Amino acid sequence: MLRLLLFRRCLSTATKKLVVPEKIHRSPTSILETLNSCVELEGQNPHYVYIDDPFLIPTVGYEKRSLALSKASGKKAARWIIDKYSYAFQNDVAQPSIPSFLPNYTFKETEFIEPDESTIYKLINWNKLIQAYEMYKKCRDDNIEISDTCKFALFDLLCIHNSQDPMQQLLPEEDWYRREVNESGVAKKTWKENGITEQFFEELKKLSPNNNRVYNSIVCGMLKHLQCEKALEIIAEMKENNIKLNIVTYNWLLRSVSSIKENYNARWEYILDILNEMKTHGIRPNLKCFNSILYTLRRSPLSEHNPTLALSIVNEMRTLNIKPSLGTWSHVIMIFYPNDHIGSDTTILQQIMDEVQKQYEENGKHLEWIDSDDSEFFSNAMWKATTSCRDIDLAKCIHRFLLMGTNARFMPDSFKEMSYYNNFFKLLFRIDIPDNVMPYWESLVPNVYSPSHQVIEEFLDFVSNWDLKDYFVRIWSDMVMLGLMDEKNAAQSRRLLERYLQLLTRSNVTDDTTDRQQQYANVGRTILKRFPLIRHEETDTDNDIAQQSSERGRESSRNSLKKDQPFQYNGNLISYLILLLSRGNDFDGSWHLYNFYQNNREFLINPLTDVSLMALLSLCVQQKDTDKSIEVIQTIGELSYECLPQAIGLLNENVKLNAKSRSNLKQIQNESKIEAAKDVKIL
Amino acid sequence: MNTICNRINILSNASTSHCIFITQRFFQTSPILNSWFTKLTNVSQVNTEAATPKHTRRKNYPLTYEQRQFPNMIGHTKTWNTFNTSNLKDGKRKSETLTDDLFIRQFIYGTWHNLFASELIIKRRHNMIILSGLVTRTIHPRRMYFLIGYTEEILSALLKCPVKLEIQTVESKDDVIFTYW
Repeated sequence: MLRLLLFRRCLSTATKKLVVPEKIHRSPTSILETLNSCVELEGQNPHYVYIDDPFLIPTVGYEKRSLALSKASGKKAARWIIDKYSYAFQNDVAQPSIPSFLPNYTFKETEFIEPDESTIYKLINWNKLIQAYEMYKKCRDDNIEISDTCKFALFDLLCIHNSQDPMQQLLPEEDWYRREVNESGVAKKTWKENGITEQFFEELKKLSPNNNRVYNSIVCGMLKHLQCEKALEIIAEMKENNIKLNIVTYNWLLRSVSSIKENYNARWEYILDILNEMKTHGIRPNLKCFNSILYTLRRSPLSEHNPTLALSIVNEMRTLNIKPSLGTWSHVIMIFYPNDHIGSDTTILQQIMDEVQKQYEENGKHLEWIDSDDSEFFSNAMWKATTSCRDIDLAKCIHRFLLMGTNARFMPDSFKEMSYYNNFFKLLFRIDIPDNVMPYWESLVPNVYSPSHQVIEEFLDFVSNWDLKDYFVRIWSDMVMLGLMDEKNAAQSRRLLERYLQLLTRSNVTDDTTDRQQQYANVGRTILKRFPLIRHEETDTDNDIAQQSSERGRESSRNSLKKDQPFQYNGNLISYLILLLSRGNDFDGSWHLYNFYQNNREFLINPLTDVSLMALLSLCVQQKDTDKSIEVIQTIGELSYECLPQAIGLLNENVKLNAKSRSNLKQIQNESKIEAAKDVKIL
Repeated sequence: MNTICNRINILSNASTSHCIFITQRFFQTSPILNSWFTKLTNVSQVNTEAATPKHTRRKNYPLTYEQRQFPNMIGHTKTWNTFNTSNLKDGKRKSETLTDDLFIRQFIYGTWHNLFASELIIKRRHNMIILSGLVTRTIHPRRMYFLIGYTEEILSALLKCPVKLEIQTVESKDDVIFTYW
């Protein structure tokens, strides 16, 4: 038995065979990629450029911008120092050497005395194209041999960069705000006429006639910088000499059709001509090609055939087995919804979202950035979901897709992100119920998104429509945190404040608990602390000083003009505040406000409202302060409000009046225009 | 090296305030330990231990937590001010790491002048250097971000590795006082 067992054991070990698994080849960064796939974007923390510290985390929109840009400017300052004292930074201990930690290369005079091909390459590498061209000319004059590859490389770069040195790459912080740093607005013709590129082109034409590459490069460059007429002339010349256009040139041509032809039908026919030409030359279209066609279609917004054409193009892509990129879909969206009214009856956006998500799943939960137009997708989709479709589920679907995986990198700059979230919240406020909206608000504001005045106003509308009393107090702190309650833009702050106070005072006293009334009164006191009441005499003296100083010199007057105007109250605001404070039983505070109003009556627009005066009066009566009560009643009488009889009645019933105050009251009664007031019997 | 030794010898004999000022400039690498603390911990005096201060007469000199925990407490109630692996077995770049650290401290002392309320903590992870510490809120965040960008860029260009600043802020230097000595 034992033997048998032993035998079996031997047998089993004998049959087991060690299989060495095949080595999986991995890239040097595969560990990092795997780690990266484990983390998910939470989407509510401050951006990583900001230091995680309450003092250093910005909440206001413009602060976010200024802090990120100041970090970038610090880096630039360091870069300047590094380049200026480059000898101090030459010690290279890194293995392998990291070029971006080394100072920029400074060219020595001796290098230019006897230039050769390597000097030109070096200059190209350090982005000095114009100098490289000069070196090339010098070489040509000195009869130094330069290879064709070098010439063509230089020529290509000059074409792309329009006879200029290429712009230095922006730092990531600046890149995020690039729309504000260097404006890239409407497409304009920027090609430099008779620049060095064209001179170079003429020269190369003589040196190597009928060269494919040279002709294609210059046409691409011209079309990129929208010099279409000349580009068309050169294309005609190419056709005469039987020079073939390549796919890149065709793509640029397709993209700039809208600036070549005016008429929509002519544009489409021209596109068909180009495509037929490509077919005869046996050039297979690629993704960029289709995107360019769609781009052109989008530029002819009100053509009726556009949607059908766009769909047929997408179908054509399917038959050619080309996967559409996000840019393609972005163009399709814009073609289907050219303005707010057209296309709302179609469900194309929903279909596109399904398609994109399917593509994302098939592609291993990752989307490639293939085309330069891909960056527009999310902001366009959200824009159209808001203005045309008005479909809340669709908008949420888009937002969920944005937060998936690494999709957030398709948001290219702050401007697009801002418009994306503006649209998203506008739609949420308009359609959805509070239980769904508030989680989004809590998670995105203020770290990811700082809403503007407009959006906050819509938020106020939303809160007041749904009567979300829990949020009434919070809105104030939100507004302060978002920098909307600022003396810098007093007019907007005042408008917002008025709406907010209207919201707080809208409800009746009986609706709210005393706790809440106390909270509102606290808000009122903080408002007064933030924007202190300033007597108008004082501001006048300020102005006088400013005038005097302006006589003294321009500089000082500029300073005084820069000084912010103090926040100016008006009757409405003050009456809201009186109402808040008197409901919170703060007699001193509300009386102080009333006094302020009485003293500055000439300067403040809008009178006090009857509701606030009545609230104040009832508080006075509670305090048994007859004189003050009579003063308030007098004001009511002067403003001839309908509530005068009630006011007199209130005082009459609750306080025992002496002879003097009785006569005062009678006088008010006699002077008032309201008949009912005269009927009240004074006891 | 010889001359430096000489100088220290001379200074150890001297006792005028002027010379103490010079010693500070030689030994001073930290932003907070300036002035009085150096006097308290001056090694040039006899029978004293390094970095262990003597009581002042009125016992009113403020110390931070880090200063109050004397060197013998390292590893018990406080940790090191610099974290790296070069002093482990087969560690690389021992002397370079030390001089780099000294340089970084001096650089921060000069660039973030009078801003750091604690010692600078230098952590080395992989090829990265992470600098952290407590900074007072005496300048606008904009300027602070400028300094962060500037420091990161220039230090990484000098040391040829990515340098990151991870600072925290405190209201004033009084907030970091642990005890009076």
